[in-house]
Amino acid sequence: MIGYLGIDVGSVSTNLAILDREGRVIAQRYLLTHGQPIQAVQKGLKEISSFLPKDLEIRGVGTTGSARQLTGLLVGADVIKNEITAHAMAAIHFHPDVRTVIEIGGQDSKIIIIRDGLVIDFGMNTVCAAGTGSFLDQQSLRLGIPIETFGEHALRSESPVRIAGRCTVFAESDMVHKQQLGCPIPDIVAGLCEALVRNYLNNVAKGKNIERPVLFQGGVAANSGIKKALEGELGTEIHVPQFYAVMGAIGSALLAREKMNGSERSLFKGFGVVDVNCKTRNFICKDCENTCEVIEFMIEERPVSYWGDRCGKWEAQAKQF
Amino acid sequence: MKLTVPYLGRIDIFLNAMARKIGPEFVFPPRTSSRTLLLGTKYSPESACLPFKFILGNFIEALEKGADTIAMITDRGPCRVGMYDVVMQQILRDLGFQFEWVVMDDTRILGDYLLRFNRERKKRGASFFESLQAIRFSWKKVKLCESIERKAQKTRPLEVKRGETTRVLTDSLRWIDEASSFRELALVDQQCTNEFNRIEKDPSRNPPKILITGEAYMVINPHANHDIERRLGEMGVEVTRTVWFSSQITHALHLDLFNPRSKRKAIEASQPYLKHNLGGECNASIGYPILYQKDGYEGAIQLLPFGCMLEAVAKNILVRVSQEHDLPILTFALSENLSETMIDTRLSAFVDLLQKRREKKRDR
Repeated sequence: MIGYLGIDVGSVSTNLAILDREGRVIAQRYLLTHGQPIQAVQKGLKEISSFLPKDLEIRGVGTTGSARQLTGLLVGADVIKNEITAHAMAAIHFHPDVRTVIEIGGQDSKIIIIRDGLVIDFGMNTVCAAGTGSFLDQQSLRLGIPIETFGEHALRSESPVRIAGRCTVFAESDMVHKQQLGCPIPDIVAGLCEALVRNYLNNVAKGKNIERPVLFQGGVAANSGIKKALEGELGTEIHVPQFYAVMGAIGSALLAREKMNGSERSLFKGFGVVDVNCKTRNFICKDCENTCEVIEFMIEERPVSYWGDRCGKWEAQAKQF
Repeated sequence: MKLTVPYLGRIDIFLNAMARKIGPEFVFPPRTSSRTLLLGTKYSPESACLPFKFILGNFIEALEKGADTIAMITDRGPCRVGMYDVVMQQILRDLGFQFEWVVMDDTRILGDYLLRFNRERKKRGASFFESLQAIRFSWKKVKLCESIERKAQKTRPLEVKRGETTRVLTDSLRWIDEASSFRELALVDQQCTNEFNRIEKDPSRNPPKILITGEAYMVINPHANHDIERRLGEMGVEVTRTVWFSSQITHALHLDLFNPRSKRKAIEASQPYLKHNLGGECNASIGYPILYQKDGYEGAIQLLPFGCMLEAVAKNILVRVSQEHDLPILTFALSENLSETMIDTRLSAFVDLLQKRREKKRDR
């Protein structure tokens, strides 16, 4: 049986997905990166491989996410692509008529505008946490509400309170104020969802032509309170795809499938890569005025790749090994 | 007098050539580095735009290196740059530096400059003719630098070994700087052509073309725009930019009447969208993408410093331009806080977008 593996390693979560030749999801995995992408990938691979049929042969591997380069080297990827392309690919695969993709992740958020199956525009927010999942995590911790039930609490509200949406610090300040006035928790949580959505629409999505069908994916799509707030602001129904949390991984697997349809051998190093010893170290190169910060990635004590050098001489060195 | 000025493209090569022939002595700060930005950010108001911080950092490093005179531009236009010279002067004096300050603005361009220029040339015993020759020589150097940079923009997407074009470009610029006569310069010209021809290229690639436009400082200085030309080139994209040292000068002197891709033409092209000339590069940033689309450019990237009012106006208007002309436009508002990955992610997503568009057009 032929399969394609996709890995999306983000700053908050690491997702894996394996698709068959027809593009159907055979297995998926969502875990937290916890600041250690290499360990997360190794753990994810170990876990997902236990779900697979014995005769499965991986014919192509794709990686995406902020750690896509590192992951690509670690596992042997055939395709390394940015998250916009990967997410769009997955969205179009399941909903070919999609026109807008809203993705709110742990630390960043995106909007992708698609017409006739083609990405025509996109926006990303990475500088500010206000429109992202981390903000919700922070508040759920403070309120003592598990993030999984956050949405339910919001849906119970009949009258959401107004909370500042520009900045997490001000939002928290506002929330504490409303709390201290005795406002019920569901109203506060619903107000928070609305604030996040307003922030999202005013920043990432500003000036973008949002048309239905609208797909909502990323980890935060699990939050029914956010979904409701989005529907309220946009005045249209929002669809959350079945595999909303692992769309990046699915997209990478699809990209791998697209590239490897011939008889080329995949660069995949096999699931055994879980046991390999990896290390990263950084240093300042003083060979010229650029003083680039160079990152060295080593597998089993051998330097495999370098990043950050403007002139490419360190990268060239790695190829010698 | 040991004079320093802000960097604007290869102004250093231009002025070094002048200095060698007729002076004055120019002191350029070390190449802009993270230390420059650190110094600049530390002593600038936080809301000052990125060019301010870089220029201030450059001035501090130049003063540390022995410069005693600073020449800085000012403008009567709506942009904050008109306040720069006053604020920078104050900051530098507060830091304890001693220097003379020369303000360059367009009301004094002829009178004061010519007088000063004449004074300096007499000091060095250079005749009027020699001075004109010196200007001609320096200008020729700048034009050669720019033609080499254009060559690099075309070659890089085709290079087989990553970094080879950049290496040849760096060498070429150094040789041009070192040439001390017209004859030597002609030889260097030939040498550069040979070196570029020697770069191993893959002619079968058909690179997409992207225009880089936006605020002048950000477009022309690689240290400010995260070396975007090199990044795009290495992603297999042919780029060109809308701001060059020579084009800024010719536009300021009203000598760009006949160039179909001049700033003047770009401002004209922006008229249907913005009737007033707001100053800076605002109108040009709107008009250039429209002009270059006719030359087969498939997308444009607008660069601006975070907080730049003029370019923010252009940015919003470009949304309409993009829709009406079916031209994808990506905007980067850069400040001293921006991660490398984010630049790469957005650039590669944009390049993917353009490539898919091409494929779709081909399939039709």
